[in-house]
Amino acid sequence: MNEDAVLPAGIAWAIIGGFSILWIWVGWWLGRKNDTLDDYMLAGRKVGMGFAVATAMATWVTSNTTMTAPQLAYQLGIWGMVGYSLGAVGLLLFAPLARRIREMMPEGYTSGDFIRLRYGNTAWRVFLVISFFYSLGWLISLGMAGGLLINALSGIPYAYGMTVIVVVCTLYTVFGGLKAVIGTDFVQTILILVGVIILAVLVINQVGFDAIHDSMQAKRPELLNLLLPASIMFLFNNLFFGVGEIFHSNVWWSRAFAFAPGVGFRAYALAGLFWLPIPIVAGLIAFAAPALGINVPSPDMVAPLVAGKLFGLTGAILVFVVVFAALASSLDSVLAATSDLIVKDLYKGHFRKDASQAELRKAAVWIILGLGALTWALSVPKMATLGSLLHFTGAFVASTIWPIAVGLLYRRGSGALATAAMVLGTASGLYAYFAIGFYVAALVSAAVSMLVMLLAFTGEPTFDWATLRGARQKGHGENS
Amino acid sequence: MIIRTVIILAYFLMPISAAFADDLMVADNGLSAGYATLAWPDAAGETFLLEREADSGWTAVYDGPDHATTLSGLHNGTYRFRLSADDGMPGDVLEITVAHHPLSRAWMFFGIGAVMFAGLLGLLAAGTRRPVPASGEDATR
Repeated sequence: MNEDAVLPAGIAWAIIGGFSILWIWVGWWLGRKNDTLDDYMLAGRKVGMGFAVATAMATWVTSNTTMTAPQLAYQLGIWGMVGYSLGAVGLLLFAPLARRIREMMPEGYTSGDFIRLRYGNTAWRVFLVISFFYSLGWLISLGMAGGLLINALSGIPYAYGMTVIVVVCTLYTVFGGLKAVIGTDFVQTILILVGVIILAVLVINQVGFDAIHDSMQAKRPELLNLLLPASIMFLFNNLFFGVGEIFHSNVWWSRAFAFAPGVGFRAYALAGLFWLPIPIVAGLIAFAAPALGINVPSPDMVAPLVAGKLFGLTGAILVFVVVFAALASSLDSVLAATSDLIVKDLYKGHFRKDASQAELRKAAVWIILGLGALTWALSVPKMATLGSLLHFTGAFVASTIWPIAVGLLYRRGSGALATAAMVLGTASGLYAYFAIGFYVAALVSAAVSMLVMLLAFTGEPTFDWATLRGARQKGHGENS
Repeated sequence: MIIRTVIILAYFLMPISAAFADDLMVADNGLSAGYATLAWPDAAGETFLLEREADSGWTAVYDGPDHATTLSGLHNGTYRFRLSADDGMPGDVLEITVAHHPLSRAWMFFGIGAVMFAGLLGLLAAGTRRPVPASGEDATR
C-alpha cells in the first residue's frame, strides 16, 4: 500500500470503470462494420489526416512519456528531460519514409513484409525476434505503468490496477481492430493535450521556477549540471532509441499502410511537432519533488506522487485521466500491431501459408487475447523500473535503423549484411548496457549496425524495387 | 520457446543489487550517473529513519513509513547511510561510492551520436529526394 496516496480508492475505481466502459463501447461501435481483414488490421487503408495525426501522437505519448520522462529528469537532470523530448525526432524522420512505404507497398501489411521481401528469410527471422522482444518489453512497461500509476495515486494494489488496464485494452482491441485503436486514440489525444497543459500551468503557478531551482541547487545539485556526463551520453542515445523504435516497429508501419494516400508524411511530421514539448512538461513536474519534500520510493512514480501532493484530489484525478489515456492509447496500438505481425509473419508466413481471410481474422482475435494474457503474466513480477526496462530494448531496436533506412531508399545491401548489422548491433548494445549503463545501449547498437551497413555502399546496386510490390493481395486479402 | 524467452528476460531485467547492510540495500544502482534507490523491503517496523553521515554527524534523509527512497543529483564521493525502525537502534552502515563517468568518455559518445545523426539525415535527404520507382523500374541507385 502506498502511504502517499491522495485519491480515494472509490473515485479511482469509478474513473477506471467509466473510461473502461467508454473505450470498450467505442471499440465495439467502430468495429461493428469491419468486414474484411483489411478493415480489421488496417482500418480499410483510408484513415484521414485528423485521425492520422491523433493516432500517431497519442500512440507516441505513452506511459513512458508521462512517467519515464519524469523519472529520467529525476535521475539525469535537465538533459534527461530534454533528451527524452528528442524522441520526437523518430516521428519526424519517419515522415518521408511513411510516404515511401505507402507508395512502394500499397498493399503491404507489416514491417516484416518489407524485411522479408527486401532482405530474405534469415534477416526476416532475426528482425521478427527483435520486434517481438521489443513489443513485449513495451507491453510490459505499459502494464507496469498502469499498476504503478493506480497504486501511486490511489493506493489500490499494483496487481489489481495493472490487471484492469491490460484487460480493458485487450477487450476493445479485440472488438474493433485498428479502427477502434485509432478512434480511441483521437479521444485520448484530446484528453492528454488538455490535461498536460493544465498541469504545466498549475506547476508553474503553485511552485514557481525559483523555488524549484533553489531546492535542486541545495538538495540535488548535479541535476542542474549541464555537463553531467551520463546525461550527455544519454542525449543521442535517446534520439536513436526513438528512431529505432519507430523505424522498425509495426505500430508505425501499420499506420503508414492504413493512412490514406498522401496523408502519412504530414501526419507523422505534425505528430512529431506536437509531441516534442510533452516530455519537457512531464519532466518539469519531477523537478518539483525536492522543493515539496516528497519521498520517491521508486523513480518511475515521481510524476503521479508530485501531482497528487501538489494539487490534491483534483490534480490526482487529472493526472490519472491523462496517464490512463496515454497508457490505453499505446497499449491498444502495440497489441494490434504485434498481433498483425504474428498473424501475417508467423502464423501465415511460417505455419499456415494457405490460411483464408476468415481464418486469419479469427486468428487475429485469439492472438490479441494471448498477447494480453502474456503481458499480464510478465507484468505481475515488476521485474525492473520502467526506465531500465524500456532502455534495455533500445539495444535491440537501434540495430534495425540502418538496415531499414538503407533498404527502403537504396538498392544496395544484401540480406547477409542486414542480418549481420542487426545481430552485431544488438550484441554490442547489450554489452554497453551492462558494461557502461542503459544510457548508451541504443547508441552503441546503432553505431555498430551503421558500420556494418556502410559496407553496402561498396557493392553493386542489385535489388529490384518491383520485388516489394510482391506484398500484394490475392482475392481474399492474403499476401501472395 | 516462450518459457525460455521469459527466463532470459527475467534474468536480464533483475534489478542490480550492489550492496547490503542488514535490511538496507541499493535497489537501483546508477552510481556512475549520480543516482541510486536505497530500499529496505524486508525491514520490520511502522516508521523508518534513514540517515546520511555528514560533517556535522548523522542527518535525516527520510523519515516515514515507505520502504525505499531515491537519491539523485549526487556529486562524486563516498556516502554512508544507516537505517533505524520505530526509533530503535540503527543497523549496519551502508557505504556507496558515486563516481561519475569521465567527461572525455561522455563527449566521445556525444560525438559518435552527433556524427551518426548527421549521417542519417544525409542518407534520408539523399534517398528520399528521388521519386519512388515505378513497378519494374530498374532504378540505378
